[in-house]
Amino acid sequence: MRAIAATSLGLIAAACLSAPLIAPHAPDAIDMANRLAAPSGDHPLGTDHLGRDLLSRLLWGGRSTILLALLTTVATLAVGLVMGAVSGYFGGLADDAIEGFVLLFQGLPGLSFMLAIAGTLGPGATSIFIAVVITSWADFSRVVRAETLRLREAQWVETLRSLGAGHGRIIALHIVPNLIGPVVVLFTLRLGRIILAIAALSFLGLGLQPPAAEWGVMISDARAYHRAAPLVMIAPGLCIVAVVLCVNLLGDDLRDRLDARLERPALP
Amino acid sequence: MSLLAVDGLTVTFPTPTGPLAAVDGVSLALEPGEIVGLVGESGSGKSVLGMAIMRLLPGNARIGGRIALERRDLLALPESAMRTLRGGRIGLIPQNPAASLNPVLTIERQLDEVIAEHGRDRCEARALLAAVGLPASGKRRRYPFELSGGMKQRALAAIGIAGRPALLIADEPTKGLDAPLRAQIVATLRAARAMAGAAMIVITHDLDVAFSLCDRLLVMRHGRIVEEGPPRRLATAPRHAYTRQLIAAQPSAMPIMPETVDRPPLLTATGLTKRFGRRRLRRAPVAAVDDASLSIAPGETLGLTGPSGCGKSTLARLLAGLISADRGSVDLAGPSNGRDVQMLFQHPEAAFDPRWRLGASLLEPWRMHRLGGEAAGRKTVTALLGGLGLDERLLKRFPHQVSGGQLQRLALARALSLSPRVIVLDEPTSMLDVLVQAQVMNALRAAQTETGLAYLFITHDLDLAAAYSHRLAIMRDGRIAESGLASDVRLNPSSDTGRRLRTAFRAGRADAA
Repeated sequence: MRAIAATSLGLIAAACLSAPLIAPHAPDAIDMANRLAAPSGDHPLGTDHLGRDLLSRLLWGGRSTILLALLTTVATLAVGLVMGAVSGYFGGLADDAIEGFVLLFQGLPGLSFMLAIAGTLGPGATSIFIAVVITSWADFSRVVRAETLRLREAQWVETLRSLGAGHGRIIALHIVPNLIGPVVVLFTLRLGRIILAIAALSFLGLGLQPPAAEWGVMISDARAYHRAAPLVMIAPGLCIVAVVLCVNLLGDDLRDRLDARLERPALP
Repeated sequence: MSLLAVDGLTVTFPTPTGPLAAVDGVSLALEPGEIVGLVGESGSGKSVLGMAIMRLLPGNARIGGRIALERRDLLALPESAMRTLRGGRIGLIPQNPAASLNPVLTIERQLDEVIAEHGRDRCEARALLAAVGLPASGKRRRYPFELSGGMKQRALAAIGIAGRPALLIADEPTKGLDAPLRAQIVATLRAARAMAGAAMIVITHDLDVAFSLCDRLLVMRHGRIVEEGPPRRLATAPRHAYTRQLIAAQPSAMPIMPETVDRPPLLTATGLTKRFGRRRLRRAPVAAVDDASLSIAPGETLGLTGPSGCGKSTLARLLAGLISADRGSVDLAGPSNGRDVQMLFQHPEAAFDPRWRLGASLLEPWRMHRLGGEAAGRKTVTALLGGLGLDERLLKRFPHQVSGGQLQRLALARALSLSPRVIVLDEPTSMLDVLVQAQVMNALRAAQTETGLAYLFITHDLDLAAAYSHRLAIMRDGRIAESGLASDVRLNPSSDTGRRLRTAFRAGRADAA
């Protein structure tokens, strides 16, 4: 299962990221004579309602979805990591303050808050980025804080303090590297949800804007023509499902491997 | 006819480097009501043997030979039949009492579960409980976190004998406990035999407990039984070299430190007080350390001992500057560079960052204090390792690839690389076997002789403290109850606490002499 998920994800990602090289057409090349064409040699998956090549749009669309999702997840993670590590390591007032913010941000209704931000700042990649980071960092912070609390109590951290190591050194060189396992797991498990959020916002017209090639935008565009040319809507939908499924499978697998508590032989 | 007959038992585990025989052809017989002690170092296969009899080994273990309980072949029984035997005919007192009780159920509920499972009368169980020293009212109704370590261990003993087993297996019942608690556990196990008539296998590396409790001892090493006999004979005339080694490494067999150090003090602590918790209505904060004063001279070891929870570890952290005192002061004679007091902790396997190679960890203090160039640091560390009898190749490994005794000496090397004047040793050997304990203690003593270091040596073992300390201090409820020369405190304690510790040790050893 893991091998299948990793291979499919690798292939999809590689194809999408090299879209400028391998896409047969430009993603926004309109050919009104060839609207909603069936698959052919020139257009392997046919064309959409403006005669744009579906395969090329899928590849370019995947490229923007994946890049935006990665960037957003990394940023969310960075905020959560710093907040969680500081709050868990220092405790006291810093912890109370950050935990207060965490509770506040966890209380925000995710999607409607994203809609509000995208609506206020105007649609586009920037608003998606800001909206997702604001609504998701708190969960990361919680996990990182719990893990940091556990590490802080470890005897080797106390030993380092007795050897004269400063807080900055302990956090940067010892605590954070020890957080990598759980953070990687969290990253993969979250990536799928963020891909979905980006597609959803774009579908609603609050993310990337037509004529940009993006899977959510493509589904939205195809709504009016789904009876005449179902593939135009099904193809980007399948892409989203496939990528999210693969990412989640990998995340689950990573969690099982990195979580030592699950590493036990079966009972006799 | 014997109750239990183990015949040519082998247990092998598959490892990346080939199969490992944890138990290698062990045969033993147990009569009804007999207490047999299984002694030996970690990895000698004694716990695996116990678990094999319970058939509680992980699924990847390969078992050969025969185990018969009351003529029934345990290895051939189906799992369902084995389940009724466990807790019924065979009881287990597991290692680590803190982790072996369900934290959300009261002791009474957990006991009733076993009783119900094996169709015993509740009244009968009450009598057994009284026998292990948990009275009918009060303690038994409580949750595990409300009980002390010794009470948890006794509760587990009660659960172990609740089904009136014919055979009871006790796995390291006294590990990490102080002398009074060890004596208590020995008394509990004796009472359990008297009440339930159970035969017992006591797995332990504590020879004092084995000598005073058992009818017969089996010494195990590398999965084999190397010597067998009554404790009296083993104590006076051990035949196998390994048995002799074990006995010599027992702290009670070590001579009391004869030397004294007569020099002006290096470290002086005056009136140290540390309270934890906030003041609440009608409840004052608990004073973990209460007006404690002590001093240590260069080249001197001050042994600090006392019952669990007396504030030893808090005092250690105060001296090392890891926490600040509410009142009182710690003064060092002469100019100080902030690295003069170092600390060595209890758990060697938790002394190093698990993701760093040991080489990097050992060089870290050198780097962060900018004591000199990289090459000079490496040279210092290598020289220290040589002095402590450690192979330089260990530096390329990760902590989990190195044994506890080696890790503790590596931690000592790391502390020594800062050339401290005082090292606070917080139970440095309580997690180690007796043989490894002797190794680490000798390494510490060698380092002291070479550099004139002062040690504050915290331990729950009065004998060990007396063997390695010039002076002894006994702590109770955060206060220093008494202090003086090692031989005086060890042989003629003046405080109640000191006398209690000493009597408990004597009681634990009465039959060995």
